[in-house]
Amino acid sequence: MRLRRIEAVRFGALEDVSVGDFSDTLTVVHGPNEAGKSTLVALVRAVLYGFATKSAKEAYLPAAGARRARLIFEEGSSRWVIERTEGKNRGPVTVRSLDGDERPGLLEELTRGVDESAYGIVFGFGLGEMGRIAEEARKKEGIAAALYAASAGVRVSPDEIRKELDERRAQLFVPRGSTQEVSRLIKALDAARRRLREARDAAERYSEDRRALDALDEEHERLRAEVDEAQDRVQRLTGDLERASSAVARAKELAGTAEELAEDLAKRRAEAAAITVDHAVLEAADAIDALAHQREAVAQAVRDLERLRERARSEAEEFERVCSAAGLDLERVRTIAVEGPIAGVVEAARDDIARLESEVAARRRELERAEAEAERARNEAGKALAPVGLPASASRADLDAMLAEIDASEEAAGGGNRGDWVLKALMTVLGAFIFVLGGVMLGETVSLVAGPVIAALGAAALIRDLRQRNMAGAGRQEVFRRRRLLEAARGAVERAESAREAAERARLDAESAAALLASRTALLARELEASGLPSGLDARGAAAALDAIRRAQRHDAEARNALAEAQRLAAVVERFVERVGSLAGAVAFERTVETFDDAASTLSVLVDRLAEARSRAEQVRAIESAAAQVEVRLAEVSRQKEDAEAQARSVLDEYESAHASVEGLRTLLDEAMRKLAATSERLEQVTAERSALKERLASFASDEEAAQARLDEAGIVQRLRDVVEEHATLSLAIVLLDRAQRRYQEERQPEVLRHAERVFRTITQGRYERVIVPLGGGRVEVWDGTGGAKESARLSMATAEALYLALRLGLVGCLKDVGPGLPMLIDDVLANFDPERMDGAIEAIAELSASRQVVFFTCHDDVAERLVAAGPPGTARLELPVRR
Amino acid sequence: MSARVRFVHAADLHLGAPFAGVSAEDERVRRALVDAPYRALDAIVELCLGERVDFLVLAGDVYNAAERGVRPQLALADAAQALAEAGIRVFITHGNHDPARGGQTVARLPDTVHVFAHDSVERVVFERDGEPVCALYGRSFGRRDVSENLAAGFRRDPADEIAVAVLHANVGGRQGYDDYAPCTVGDLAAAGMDYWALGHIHEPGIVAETPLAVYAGAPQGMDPTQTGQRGCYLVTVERGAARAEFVPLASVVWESCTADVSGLVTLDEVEDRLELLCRDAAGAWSRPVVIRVDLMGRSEVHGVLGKPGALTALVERVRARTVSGEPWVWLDRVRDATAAPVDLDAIRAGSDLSADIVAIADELASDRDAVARELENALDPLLAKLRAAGVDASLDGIETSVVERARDIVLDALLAREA
Repeated sequence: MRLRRIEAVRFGALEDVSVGDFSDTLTVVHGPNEAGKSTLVALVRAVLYGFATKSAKEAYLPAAGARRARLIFEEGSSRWVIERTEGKNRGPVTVRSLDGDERPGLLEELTRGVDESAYGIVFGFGLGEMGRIAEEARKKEGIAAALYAASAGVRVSPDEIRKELDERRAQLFVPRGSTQEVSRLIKALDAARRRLREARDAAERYSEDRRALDALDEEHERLRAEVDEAQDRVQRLTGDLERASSAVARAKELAGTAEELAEDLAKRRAEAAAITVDHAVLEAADAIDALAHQREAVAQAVRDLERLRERARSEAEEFERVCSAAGLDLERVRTIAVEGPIAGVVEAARDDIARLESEVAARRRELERAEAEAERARNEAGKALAPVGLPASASRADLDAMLAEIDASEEAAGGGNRGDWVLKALMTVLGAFIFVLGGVMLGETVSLVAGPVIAALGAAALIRDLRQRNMAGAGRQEVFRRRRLLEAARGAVERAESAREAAERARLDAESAAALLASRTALLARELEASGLPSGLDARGAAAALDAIRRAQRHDAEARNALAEAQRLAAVVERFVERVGSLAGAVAFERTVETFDDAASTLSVLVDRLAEARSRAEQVRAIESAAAQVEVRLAEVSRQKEDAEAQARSVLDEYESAHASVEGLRTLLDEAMRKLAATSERLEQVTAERSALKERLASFASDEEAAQARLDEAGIVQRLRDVVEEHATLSLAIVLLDRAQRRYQEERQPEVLRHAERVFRTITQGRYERVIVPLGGGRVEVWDGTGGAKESARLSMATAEALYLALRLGLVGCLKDVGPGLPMLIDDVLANFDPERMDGAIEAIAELSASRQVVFFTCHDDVAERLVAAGPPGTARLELPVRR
Repeated sequence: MSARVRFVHAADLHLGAPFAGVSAEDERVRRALVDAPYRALDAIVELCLGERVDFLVLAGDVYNAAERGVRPQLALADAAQALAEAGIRVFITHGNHDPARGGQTVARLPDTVHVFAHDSVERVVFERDGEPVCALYGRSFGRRDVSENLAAGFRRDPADEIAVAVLHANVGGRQGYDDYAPCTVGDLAAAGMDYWALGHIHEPGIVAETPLAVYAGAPQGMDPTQTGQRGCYLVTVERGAARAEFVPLASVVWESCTADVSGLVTLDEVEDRLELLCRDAAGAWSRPVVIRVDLMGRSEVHGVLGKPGALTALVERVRARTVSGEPWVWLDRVRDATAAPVDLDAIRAGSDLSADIVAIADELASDRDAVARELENALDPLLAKLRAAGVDASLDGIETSVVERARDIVLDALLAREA
């Protein structure tokens, strides 16, 4: 980046002035006094850092209008304008591109690491600023430190960091400080220890309390024993009194109970004696209960007896009626074994005869049907024979002879058949077709004509043959009709002969069935007679007679059975009546008992008497049981009463006779309780005092305070140790920083100074050999060839100016990244140099301009000439016009 | 003799000891911390009563100091009285913290308590129903600094069917503990006991299986280094075979952990992480927890954490939520050991001021003497002032990681200004 032009729209005395283009290396701007050289140097500074306030000594206010100026920088083929106009905050600045990319941060880029002051001292200066670099060297935070930092690659002053670390460390501790952390902690520590001492002092007072507590402990122990003793006595008296009182009261209560029980016992026994019980009935209770249990069954037997007698009568009557209806003798009926062999015979005969009768009827119906069929067939044959002229008596042989005659006549008639006629027609058509086809194919006209001719001839022959066939057919039809009639008549005659044969067979079957029926009927009659039954009965009648006998015998048996059961029941009833009568006599119940009703009535009375007797007996037993319990209870109560009396005696016997009563014990207990209350009250007082004292001792304030104070002390000491560590860390941090700074001074700063030293040596033509900035000295010293050191303040003005220029050139020569685009603007600083030193200075400036752009303003033509001559390639000279 | 005894073995109650290294502003937490050793004693008593043991053994350092406080003495007297009422005897040896010679007795212990002599090994027979059951051997510290091998003086009587030894000692020269009454496992074995009830080491654990020698550990962690569960042992000795079951008792558990916040960006996320750690601790222990957290890792959130007051405010917010829970969790200290998310190797490879800082820090970290010298120079006035104020402050506890933190502080400042 190079400064190409300086343009003043309005700045100081300059108006619409443009100076440039400046060389990349050295540009010598020559102009007379008042040409505006210093103003241009100031303009560059103003554009870079801002206009001075209007009230400032060097404000460079124009005669009219607002200040406005710009710088044009160039890098490669790009150019930018930095323009500052009058306004707030020392005037707003704009950066715009003339040719190339926008670089809004260009100004900051150019001035990086160089503040306005540093710029004024190092980059843009005139004779008036020459001495300031030495002044700045005395300031730790000044340009020297800033330049050191910048040259060390950081844009931070190590002095600032050191100052911060010092401050932080000083907050912790300064040797004679009183407000720092350490001082505050030590004060707090003293306070905690003071509390601890006070607490320990207070602990001395503990002994007195301890002695008082010992006394209280002894009294407490004694009282405790007395109270325990009193409590034991009260407890024992209370227990004895309670036991004695309880026993006496219990004995008294038991005596009352025993008396009540005795009365109750007597009352119950009298009540039992007043109840009369029918013992006779009770003794017969089992018999009465048994008869009462049988009564319903016997009543049922009585009812069944009547019903059976009635049934016997009814069955006997029915027996007689059935026998009478069947016309059988009663006694004979009783003897016939209806379920014997005769029953099977009758049953089989009845089925056989019925089947045979049905067979006879069926054969007769078949005979009638066959005869009717024979008659009808015979009539049909007559009808069929009539058309052929034969009588009804004609046979099948007659008809067969006539049919043989017809067959012979037809064989003789013969004749073509239909197949011959068709063959002829086909041959005719085929011949006609062949001729026509051959004519067409061969182109023969004869053939074409012959075809139709042949067809016509064939057709004529066919028609003639057909007519002859029709004339022969009329005679044959008549023969066919007669033949058909003969064949029909032959069939009818054949069927009539078959029907006649069937009718004959049916007649023979009917006669055979009738004969078999008559034989079977005769056999049955013989069996009936042998069995005692009327022989005139047919099969069905015999079966009916057997059924009647079977019914009669059943009624007879029923009647006999009913009578037998009736007799058995009558015996049961009779026994029941006898036992009731006997029982009534045994229990002195006078009553005539002859019938079942008598017995039932008597038994009811006996049952009622038995229930009453049982109820009374139960009442007596319940009363006697209760009385027995009362008696047992009475005995138990009496025993308990004696025990209670003995218990009371055993308790009271422990005491003197004066107090050997419940009342006496109560008096003793009252006395013991009063004593216990008094002792306990004193014990409570002592306990409370002892407890309070013990609690006071246990939570002894001094002890507690000491613990708290020790805790505080421990916390403070810990914090102090932390502070020591923190202080150590900060101290080491400062050591590190100091060492780093020293290392710079030894390894890096000397390079800067050596550069300045070399320049200074060049300027002074070797008279001065070394330039030194002692650590922390804040001054610059030069060493001449004799080894003597001179502080800058003691040098002659010219030598001092040479030193200052050398320092600047040396510093700027080492600054690579600091103010990278800033040119060095030097305003006629060689005025006081003698020719030799001027040569040296020019040489140094020319050398620097090879690495950093330099613009040298001068009014001395020879200086300009010599600079141009000494400058590196590209050195330019510009002339400033004289301002009017 | 009945061939079985059952007892509780506890030690190092340190009644009256302050909690070291904790700064608890919350009254509830302060109260719990002050009461914790006493609550541990109460828990031991409850265990004895609940398990209906034969006796309780306290193997030294019952009190934190020779000049026993009032409250500690009364607490022990009350505990012994409660056990006496249940017919449970107590056997005590004095340790280096509460040697027999020293302190004024202000609370009498009941007759059921036996304190072992300090001038020789004492044998006491424990009887049940008038019949001897078990012999207990013990020896107290007469003074604080006992360098004699006390275990060597223990010898079992051949008539003992069961023999239990009670001793406060450093077995095997355990590091981090004063080497009082030094002895070896071999010394313990040579005595022929069935069980060694040991005290002095605050971490519970089994020293030897044959014979079974056990450090009961402190029933309550006393400072932030005594993390994890603490309690006592329920011991059964039967026919010469002993077994010990650890029973956790501490009413407050100390916890220390690190939290990698590498992936976190905002303070809210850190706050959530811390709260989660607290909740997890409460869930894991099911009792109040005092927890310390070191935030680790290179993270975006480092810059925010480094802002003045940010971490303090964050911790207070988390505390406000976790201390009110049940069980409560006191976030005791959160140390910011995070660093900016920078690539140190990349910085080392550079040639700027940051590279110088890192390089110098690397050099310093490898030279402990140099660090000590630098710190001595820098901290001398501060340490002098602290010593004058009676604070035992030294550079001994400062680790070399301080160099890394110092480096990160400088880098933070540099990077913050460059940003």
